[in-house]
Amino acid sequence: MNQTQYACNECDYLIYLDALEEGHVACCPRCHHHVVERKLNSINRTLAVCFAGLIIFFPAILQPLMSMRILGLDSSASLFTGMKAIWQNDLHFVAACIFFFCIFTPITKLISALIICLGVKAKKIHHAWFKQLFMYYHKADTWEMLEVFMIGILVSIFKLKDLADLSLNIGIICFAVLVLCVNALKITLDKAMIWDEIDNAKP
Amino acid sequence: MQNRNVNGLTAKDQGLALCMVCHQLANYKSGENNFCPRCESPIRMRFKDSLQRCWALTICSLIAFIPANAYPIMTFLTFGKGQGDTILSGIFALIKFEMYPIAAIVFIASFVVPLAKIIGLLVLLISLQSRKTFSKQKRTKMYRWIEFFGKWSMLDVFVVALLVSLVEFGTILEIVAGPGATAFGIMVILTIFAANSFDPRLLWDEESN
Ligand SMILES: [Zn+2]
Ligand SMILES: [Zn+2]
Repeated sequence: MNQTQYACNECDYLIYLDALEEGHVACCPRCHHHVVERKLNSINRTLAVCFAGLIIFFPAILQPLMSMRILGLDSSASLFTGMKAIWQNDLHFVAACIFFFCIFTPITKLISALIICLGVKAKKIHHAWFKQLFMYYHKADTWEMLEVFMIGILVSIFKLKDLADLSLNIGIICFAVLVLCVNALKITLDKAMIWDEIDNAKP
Repeated sequence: MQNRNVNGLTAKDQGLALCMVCHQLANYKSGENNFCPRCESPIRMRFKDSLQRCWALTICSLIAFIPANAYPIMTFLTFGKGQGDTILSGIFALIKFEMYPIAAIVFIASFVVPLAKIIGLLVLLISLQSRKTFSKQKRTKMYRWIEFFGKWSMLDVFVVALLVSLVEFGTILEIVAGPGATAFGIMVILTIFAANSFDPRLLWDEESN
C-alpha cells in the first residue's frame, strides 16, 4: 500500500492518504482543518509573485502614500516616514514593531521564497541552509502585518478627509500591489511540497 | 481514497509526534529530547507547558489592556494646545462626526478584537480545566478565529503612525503619538504569543482519556 501517514496539526488525528493530485485539498475528518494541500504550479507562480513583490517593495515603502495641504503647507506620509515619525516621538518600541511587522517580515518572506523556489528549480536544494531559510519563512508567517497596515491607510484617509485637502499618491497603488503579492505567497507557495523536495534532494 | 483510521487513533496514541515546523510525523521516545528528522527542530507531543504559558500570557495581556486604553494613543495639537485621545475617545469623536463605518471598524479592530481574544482564550483555558465541556468542533473553530484575528488589533497603532507623520505642520497643527501606543503594541504582541502557545490538540485529547 502506497499511502502516506499524516497527522492533523490541530487535533492530532491520523490520516492515511494516497498521493494527492495538484490542486486537491485533504481535510481532517474530525476537525475539518486542511491537512494537506497540493497547489497548482506552485514553484512558477511563487517565482512570479516574488519578482513582482521585490520590484514593487521599495517604491511601496518609500513613496508617499498620501499628502495633505493646510494653509498652503504640504505634508506627505509613507510607511517609512510613519515609522520615523513614531521613532522621533520617542516611542521606540512601537517604531521597532512597525519595522519588524511591515518591513522586515515581508521582505524576508519574499526573498526566502524566491531563493527557495530558485533552488528547487536548479535542483540545488540539498544544501543545509535551505532548511534554515525555509524555517525563517515559516516563522515570519505569523508576524507579517502588511494587510493590517493597508486597512490602516484606509482608516486614516477617512479620518482626515474632512479635515483638510487630502490627495492620494502613487505610493498607495504600489503598496496595494505589495500587499497582494505578499498575501499571494500564502496561496501559491506549497510548503508541504517544498519540504518533500528538501527531503528527497540528493547532493 | 480510503481512510484506514477507523478507530479514531491519534498520532499520540501511536507514539508519533508531529513537527510543528515542517509537519513531519516522527517517532517519539519519551524521556529524552526529540528532534525532527527532517528539519531538526525540537519536537514534542504537545507544546511545552502549553496551558501554563497560555494562562500567564493571557493574564499579562489582560493587564496590558488597561494602560492601552487608559493612556492617550495620540494628541491632536493646534497651536501647541490639545487633549490626548485614548482609543475609546477617538472612537467617540468619529461617531460625533458621523463617520459610523470607520468608527465601527476601529471599534471592532482595536477594542472588541483584543478583548474578545483575551476572553476567548480564557474560555478555552477554563473549558480544559473544568469538566463542563461544550463541543470540541466549536472550540476548535473559536481557536481558529482567535488565531486569525490576532494581528488585526495592530490597526490603530498603524493609523497613529500614519497620522503622526502626515499631520506635521509645525506649531499650527500637529499630531503627536502617546504612550498608549506602546502599551497597545505590547498587548497585541502578548495576545499573539498567548494564542500561539495554546495547543489546540489539547481540546481533543480529553476524548481519549
Ligand atoms: Zn483535525
Ligand atoms: Zn520538522
